[in-house]
Amino acid sequence: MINLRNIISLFLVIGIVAVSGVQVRAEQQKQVVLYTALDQIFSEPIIQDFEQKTGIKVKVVYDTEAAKTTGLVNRLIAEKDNSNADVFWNNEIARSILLKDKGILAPYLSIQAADIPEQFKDKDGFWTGFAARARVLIYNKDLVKADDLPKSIFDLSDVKWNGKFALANPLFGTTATHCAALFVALGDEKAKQYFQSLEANGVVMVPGNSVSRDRVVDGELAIGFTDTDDAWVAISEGKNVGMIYPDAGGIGTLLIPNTVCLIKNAPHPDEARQLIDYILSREVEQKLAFSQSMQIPLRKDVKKPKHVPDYDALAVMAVDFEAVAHKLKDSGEFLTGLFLK
Amino acid sequence: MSFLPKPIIVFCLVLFLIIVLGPLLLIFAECLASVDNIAEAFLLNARQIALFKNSMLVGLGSVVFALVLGVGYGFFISRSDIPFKKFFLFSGLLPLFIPAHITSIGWIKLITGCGLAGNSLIYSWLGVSFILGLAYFPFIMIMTITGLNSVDSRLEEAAALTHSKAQIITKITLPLINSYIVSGAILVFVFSVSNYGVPDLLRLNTYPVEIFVQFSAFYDTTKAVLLSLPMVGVCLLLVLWQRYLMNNKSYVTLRAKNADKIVFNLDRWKILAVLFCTLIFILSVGFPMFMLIKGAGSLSTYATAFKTAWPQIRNSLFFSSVSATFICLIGFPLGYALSRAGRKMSLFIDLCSIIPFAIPSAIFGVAMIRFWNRPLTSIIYQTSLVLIFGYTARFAAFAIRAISSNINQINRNLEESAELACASWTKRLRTILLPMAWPGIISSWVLCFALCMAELGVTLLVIPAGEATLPIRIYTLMHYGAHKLVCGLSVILVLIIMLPILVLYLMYNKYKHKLLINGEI
Repeated sequence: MINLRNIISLFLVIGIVAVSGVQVRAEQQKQVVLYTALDQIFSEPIIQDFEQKTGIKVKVVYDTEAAKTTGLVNRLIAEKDNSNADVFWNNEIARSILLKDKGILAPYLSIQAADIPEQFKDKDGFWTGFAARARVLIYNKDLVKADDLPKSIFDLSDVKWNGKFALANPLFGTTATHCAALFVALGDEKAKQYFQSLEANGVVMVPGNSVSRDRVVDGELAIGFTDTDDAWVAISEGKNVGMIYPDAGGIGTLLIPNTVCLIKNAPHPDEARQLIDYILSREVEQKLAFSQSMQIPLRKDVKKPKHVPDYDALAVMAVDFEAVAHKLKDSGEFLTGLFLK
Repeated sequence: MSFLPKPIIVFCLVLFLIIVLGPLLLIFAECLASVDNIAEAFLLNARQIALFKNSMLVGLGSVVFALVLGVGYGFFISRSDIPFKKFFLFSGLLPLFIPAHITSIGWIKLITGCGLAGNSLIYSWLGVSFILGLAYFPFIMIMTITGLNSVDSRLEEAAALTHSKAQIITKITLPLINSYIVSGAILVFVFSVSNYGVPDLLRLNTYPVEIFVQFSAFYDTTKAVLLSLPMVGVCLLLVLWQRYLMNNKSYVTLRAKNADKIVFNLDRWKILAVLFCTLIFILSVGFPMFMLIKGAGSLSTYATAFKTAWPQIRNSLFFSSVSATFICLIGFPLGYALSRAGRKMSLFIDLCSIIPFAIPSAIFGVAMIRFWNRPLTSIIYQTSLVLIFGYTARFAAFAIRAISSNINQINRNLEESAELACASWTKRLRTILLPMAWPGIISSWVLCFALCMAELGVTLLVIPAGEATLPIRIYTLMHYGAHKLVCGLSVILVLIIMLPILVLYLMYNKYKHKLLINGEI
């Protein structure tokens, strides 16, 4: 039989270790708390650089695909009365505006943001955009001939693409922002007609943009809506796929920037501003452009690899992001009824 | 209650209620207060009826699949003369520890390759039920074995004089264990209707999916909380039914071999029985593990995985082992109370502990933030204590019930005799109760450790800044397309979870005369 004293001793040792662990973790030091929805693999090196340069410890909470990268937004909403986070680095823009509307953000006009285009920053400084991803179409080169490539997302209503293209869940992530942006850009009626035409043309709904990419890479589908970072992962691995920046001659390609925000009543406001300044620096835009997430710098003269397009060379969809954020609920409800019955 | 003084039980009960019910009561109160028209909020519209229908279909479908797999599997292990019983017994527990979404991804890849007919099958309530049935059939297996071990063998021996083996099984044995099987089916139902990952992957709208949408797409916590109420109601009713069925019956006694029971000689059917058990093992454990190992590729993936994710692996081990210990520490007095206290008290503990199963983890996470994120309790919210409390709330029910099952089997006369002998309660606890209850405590620890290791929903929302666990690491990599690394880390996660089960298996061999595995909620 197992000795009872040993069992009790084991419990005691584990208890003591637990308490010491908790106490060690509770120790205070010069630090800043960052919540980030950008993939850890891209954000972590940047955070480490900041720590080295400033000596400020950055405590990070990362979001995951399991929560459709909305877990942190919900956490920030729930923590509203007693903020624990100092800075929110969002990998998109609409939910940052939602947080502003809910009174969770504080204004901060960073000097680093001076040359960022007006479309991508809040005039009061509640959120500031930088390093964007584009909404693109990924295609399988074995299944789509060069001559047949669609030039516009509206081409996908054509019967020749029937059942051959994918769209991620339109309630989450950049797909939700893209859909809401189309509602703003086209008007409700035209946008509804467009999505109804996609539904009638057998659009294949998938859980996320990375799945949209994978289905195209695997040759199960010819074309998929996705983001530049997802598409570039496949292209850089030598998969037989390509990407299209759609609607250059029409409404333009939607660019969705990262956003960084100061949290209201942040426990470490000075360190938070320092971190925001660093995240908005040209250096970080450059690092993100050279990373595998191939984020597009929003400022001129930021060094970037050749496969990252110039901001000026792109036909960028002109949308008011505040309007897009406010359209999310209506567009989401319509699309739920259409695609997720 | 002669073994444990009342103040200890009351202290643990109050602690348990604060940890489990405190956050939930607060968030329900906040949400109900924010609704203008409560009657309207509960009104079932067409969409809610469709959700209810889908959820019920998934629940019932999963039960049917789990019954088909679990009853036969449990019977062959417990009462037949098939070989490799111990292997099948322990491998039969493993599906509970392999996240169901991993199985789903494998099945989706396999079946979508079969064309449209396969697609329509997998992307339906049937596909969801099949995968959840595979994941949860161990509940039926455990309860079937428990029931079979409790059957009075004299009844079967008497029947054997005039009836065939098949008649004994269908007319005597199975009717006698009906209540156990139904009890296992209720557990399968509760877990299936509250599962989010599988119906989401297979694009079936059930209550958990709709709740997630309201919560994560529309940020409407009130609606999400209200949507969870019908499932809470159904689950509570089912638990009451389960208590009625299991009244005065011992919960779980799981042994591969029982010397007092009739063992049916299957003769020529033996090979089919072995094939049946092997097929279930392949479908529920072999297939998902094969997909992961194949996905991970070479051994260097595991080296990279260990190198890059060691802090998260260490954190997971730390949080899970401390949480499992804490759960057992408060679960032991409560399990004792559940077994020995009056009807009302044990019903109260039973119902309180089941509620977290019916609440989606995301809502529970938000409830914990609202409850603990205050200046006064920052020592809890800003440290790993919040995780320990979160895991306790989610999984304490397993430990309480497993320990209670063990204590049910301890003869009350022992307590009374010891009390008459005037031994102090600590001496009685040390010399009688703990030595007899330790198998239940150890198996509860293993079970809770495994569940904590794999937990993601609550962890994601309450984990202190600067910390991360292994499941969080896996999911953060998933988006990036690091498929190999994701598979490698998933294999490591499953292996870590299996390690204590392996220890339990070895202990089983060493202490098989004493050890009862209590793995039931």
